[in-house]
Amino acid sequence: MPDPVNNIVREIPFAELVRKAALAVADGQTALDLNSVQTAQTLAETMLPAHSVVLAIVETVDENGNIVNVETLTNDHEISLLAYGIEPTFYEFSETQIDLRFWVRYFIRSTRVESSSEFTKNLSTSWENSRKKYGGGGGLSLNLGFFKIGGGGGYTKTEAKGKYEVDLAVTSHTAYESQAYGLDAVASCRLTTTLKPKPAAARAVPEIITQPSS
Amino acid sequence: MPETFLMKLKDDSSEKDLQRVMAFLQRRKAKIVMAVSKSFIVLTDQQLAEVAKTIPAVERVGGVTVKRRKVKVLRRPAKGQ
Repeated sequence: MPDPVNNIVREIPFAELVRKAALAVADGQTALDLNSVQTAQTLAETMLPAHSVVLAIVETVDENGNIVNVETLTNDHEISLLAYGIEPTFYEFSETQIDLRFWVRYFIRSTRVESSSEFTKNLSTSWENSRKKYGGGGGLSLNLGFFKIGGGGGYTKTEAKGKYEVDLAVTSHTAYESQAYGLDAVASCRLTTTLKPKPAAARAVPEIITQPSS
Repeated sequence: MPETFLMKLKDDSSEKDLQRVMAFLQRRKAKIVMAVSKSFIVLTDQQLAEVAKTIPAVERVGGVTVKRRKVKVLRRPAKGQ
């Protein structure tokens, strides 16, 4: 069986992950820039009333150079917050870090159970058979001048012996084998970005020059 | 770290909305630097600014930079000289 961990590592779409992270950062940057531009518009539309902003201090001096009077020169007309000197802050993603972690647990559990038993028995049987037979007889015979009287007897004995021997052997064998495969994979992905203020893009904010009227 | 933000309320927001937002900012220790009509410049942190964006009466929240202003001093001779 091939190593499944390698297969999982191969299946993780690193390139896709980086591509999507880059697109997400680009989208975020666009949204940030758009928000800054809209803030600039809001600043340009928000007007400070006339005579509310001190533009200059006018000192009146006599022939000796002594200050005899001090006046403040304020705005005659409404001025915007942008003209007042409040500018939108532009931000940028200075650093993006993709942190991908995964844990793979892979195991094969093998079980083998084997049992065997053996039974041996020796059976032996012997037998013996014996038979006896007795017998007898007599007789008279006449044979040309000879006279003969005689008799006879007999005995017969038969014996038989036997023996059976049986070897009984019973062998039993049982085997059980199993394999369990387990695969457990956990992955987590973290995207860390650092946001820093940056100078406004060229011409994004108009340069405001304030000067008193002559 | 505190930053300066512009907060603008919606045009149809009421005076009560303004008071609610002001109270919310003050409770969170935000400093209101300047207020013009329904817009104000607030010194607070990014986290509170993100929360403020979710307030229905708030139309826009954006980071701003307050440029250092120089007030010119003009000298002119007294009349008759």
